[in-house]
Amino acid sequence: MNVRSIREALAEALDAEGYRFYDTIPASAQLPCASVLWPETIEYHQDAADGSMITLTVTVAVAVTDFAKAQKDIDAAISWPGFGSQLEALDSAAWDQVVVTSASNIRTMAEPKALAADFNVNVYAP
Amino acid sequence: MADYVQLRFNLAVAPAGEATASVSNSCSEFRIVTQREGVTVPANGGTGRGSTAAGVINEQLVITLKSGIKAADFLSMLREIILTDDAEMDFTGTFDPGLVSDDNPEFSGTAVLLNVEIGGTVGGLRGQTITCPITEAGIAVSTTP
Repeated sequence: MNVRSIREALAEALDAEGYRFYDTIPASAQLPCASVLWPETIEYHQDAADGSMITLTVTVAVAVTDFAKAQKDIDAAISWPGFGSQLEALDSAAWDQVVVTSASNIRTMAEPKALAADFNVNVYAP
Repeated sequence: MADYVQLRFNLAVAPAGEATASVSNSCSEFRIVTQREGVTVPANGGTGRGSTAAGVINEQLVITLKSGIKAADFLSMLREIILTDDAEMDFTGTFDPGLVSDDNPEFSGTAVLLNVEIGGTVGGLRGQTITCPITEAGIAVSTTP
């Protein structure tokens, strides 16, 4: 399991889905954007070949230049299918499976002016 | 250095008579259990005490596995094995990942597969713990690579 490879593969996949990727969302982010934060927990020794389960948060932010549109965008992102199902469909050699367990912390951001939501994700990696 | 904690192990499995293939990355538990049945010896007039003598040997292979349902996954092999006439599978394994040696013996044998489950609870891992009796030939232990 390589954390860097997982974060880079997620970044590449999110970029392909149309989200500008940042390690953390900066004040002048180009929207819509996504960030993959450092893992909250990494559970090692999940199998005899040292597989791991990584729990991390993916934050999605959409622009609020038009607030009605921003609400629709974030509603679409947190719906199912939505951004979560897009994440689960991602394929990479860096992981066996991505499972989105929940979305939370839906909020307005001052800088950048955005609506954002956190997706709580388990990544099962060999 | 002590090595009390079970971490990586090697386990390879196949339908009986075929070349074994590693299933280590699908398994989180590998255990070999050896049991003796207790034979009750009645009390006699001399001592007035009953006792228990060691009876027959029973051995079991215990594996906890997680598995997908794709053709190449471990579960597909288990489904294939349990549907054969004898439901027997060969296995070989070491409890540490290094070379076979006096300190890392290799255990092998043939086990009878009695139960396979597919699927799981939504949001949980697909997998199960299987307990398989060992055939009459018993468990072989090797310390040479």
